[in-house]
Amino acid sequence: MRTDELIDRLAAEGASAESGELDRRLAGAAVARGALSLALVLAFFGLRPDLGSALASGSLLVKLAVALGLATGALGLLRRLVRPGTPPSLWALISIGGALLLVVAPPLGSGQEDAFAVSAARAFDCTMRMALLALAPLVLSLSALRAGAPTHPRLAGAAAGLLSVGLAALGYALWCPYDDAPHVLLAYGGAALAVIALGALAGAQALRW
Amino acid sequence: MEDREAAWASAMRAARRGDAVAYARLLDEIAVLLRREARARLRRMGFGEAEAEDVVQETLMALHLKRHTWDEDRPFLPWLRAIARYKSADAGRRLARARRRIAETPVEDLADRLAAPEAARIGLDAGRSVEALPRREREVVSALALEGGSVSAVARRFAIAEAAVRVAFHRGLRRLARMSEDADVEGRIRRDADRRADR
Repeated sequence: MRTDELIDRLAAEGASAESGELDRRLAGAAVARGALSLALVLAFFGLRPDLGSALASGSLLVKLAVALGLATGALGLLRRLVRPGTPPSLWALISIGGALLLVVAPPLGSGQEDAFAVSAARAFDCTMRMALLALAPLVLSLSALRAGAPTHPRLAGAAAGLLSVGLAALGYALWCPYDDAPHVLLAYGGAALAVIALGALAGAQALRW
Repeated sequence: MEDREAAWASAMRAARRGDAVAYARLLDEIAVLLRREARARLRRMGFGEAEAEDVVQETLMALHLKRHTWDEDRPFLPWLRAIARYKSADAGRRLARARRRIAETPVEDLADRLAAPEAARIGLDAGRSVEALPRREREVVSALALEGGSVSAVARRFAIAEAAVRVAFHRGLRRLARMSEDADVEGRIRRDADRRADR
């Protein structure tokens, strides 16, 4: 087919397009996924026994703030990544940076100094559970991203991974009773790295257009 | 540059509100730019105008398919350039891969493989297509020329000998060439008849 014929066909199809729908779809899907992760945690794990004291000491809130900061930052990155030619959002990067700084915040405490070996073992458990929780949100995120045009599919997949693990962590924080900083760093950090890497790999394949 | 940004952004906005003429004109102008860049880029890789035109068409289709990703509050040209760059990188990879595959083709198949896409395209242009070939020839021509498989892979896939694959391929190409000649002859006869009727 000649190019001018192609152009005629495209023009006949019409250029009407609603640009805001993409944002709504991404945001709506994120909320749905957050709710999904919460529901999964409640269904399979239940709430943590020390919910009251954790809330009081602020450690739970810190965990939630970290998770929320990462998730909203990732969502902010995704909204730009899915539109070709748009630079990354400064606020998104600040949100993510802030969340990472919060991990070493005082309310989390440093836990027992000699318990690092124990930390590693239970951190691994938490990592696995959080990574599993993040899988369904990751799949849903990637399928929502296909509606856009990510010019850096690997990066977009990685951001989708960050979003998914943040949402998973939101729900998981309601169950996991360990709030000390080393545990959070290991468990949440490990899960985040794993899911981000998985997202990047999947994105490179699934987000091509 | 600012003129083009303003002109094209407003054309795209008009197109979004239903102005098909503005859209067609915009795509035409974009195509000119894309074509220049694609030809320059592909020439450096050793490819010609036909491949460049393919890239232009792919990019136009991508622009159309993903037109909803342009945020009207943002500049138009960066959006356009990002899509063009993405598609041209894709095309570069695909062409390099195809060239590598041809380089790995055994010599006895090479002449046919190089001629085949053109022959298939001639068949397509003649209004007939590869579809009109008998089943075995159609399968083999599709698999070898249009999908770029190797003779041994195709032989395995259809459970026939490699020699049979080559024979079917030769026959299919000859039939396509004959179909296009017949179409030419038919066209000429029709044109002569029309001319005589006008006299």
